[in-house]
Amino acid sequence: MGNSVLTDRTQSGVARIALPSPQTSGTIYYSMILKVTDITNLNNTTTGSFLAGLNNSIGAGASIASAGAALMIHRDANNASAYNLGMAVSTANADRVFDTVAHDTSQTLCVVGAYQFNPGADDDNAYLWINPASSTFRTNNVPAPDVSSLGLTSTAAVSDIPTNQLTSVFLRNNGVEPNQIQIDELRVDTTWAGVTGGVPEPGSGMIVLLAAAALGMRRRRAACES
Amino acid sequence: MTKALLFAWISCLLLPVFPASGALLYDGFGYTSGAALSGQTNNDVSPALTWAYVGSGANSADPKIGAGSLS
Repeated sequence: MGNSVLTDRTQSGVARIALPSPQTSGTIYYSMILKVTDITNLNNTTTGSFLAGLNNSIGAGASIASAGAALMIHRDANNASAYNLGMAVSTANADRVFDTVAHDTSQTLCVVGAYQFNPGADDDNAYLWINPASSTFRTNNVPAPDVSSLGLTSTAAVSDIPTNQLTSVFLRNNGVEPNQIQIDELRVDTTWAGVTGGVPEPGSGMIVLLAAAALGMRRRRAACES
Repeated sequence: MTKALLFAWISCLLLPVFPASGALLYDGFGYTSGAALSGQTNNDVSPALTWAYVGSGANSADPKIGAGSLS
């Protein structure tokens, strides 16, 4: 069985992994299962912090200079023990848009983010879905998003990802986050179906997995699968 | 057991025929608990990809692997 990833607000480092190929057009989706396991020290109720997203560089580096479809979190303004998730087409404060639904540490959420390239300048968009309907899983029936961060309507100077490409996905520690967030089952794809229960790319262990399936072993549940 | 081996053999034959389906990138984080995420190699994609560290200075560790799954 797999493990998961834990963030730590006392640290500020990032881990990123390259996408198999650079993405320069269309819509790029990512999904994960997310649980805030310790909400202590999540104090910001406005612009919050981004904990994950897509990036335009690969390999080691000193900092995440930019992010596309940044997954945001802040404390719910009306409930100190709850949080809201949000989405930002870039990291600019003007692009940060939050959902109003309060979530707490008892909840495990299916989260889908997306970055949409558009042809003009400063017109790319980002979207967020929280616990989307399972009837849409493994289909290309993309539901209406819960949050939209639109480049054209924001007042940020530039919302489009610099160099107009997405080449990696990252997970981030940051002091504005709660004490701990648990993340699992990360997927990135160019389709909704691909991030809502699609089968992982066949790897070297595929044959072993197929044999195990034939023996009647229980199949591991896919990400965001009901 | 015989059926299982036959199934695996047939699957092996079919792999080059059917294109890879599913996500461009998938990571179930089946790494050692307590380790940093950076440096871990994802063998769920082909070719395998390794998480890179981004940061500098004090208190700049990246996220770690935790025990247990959410799935």
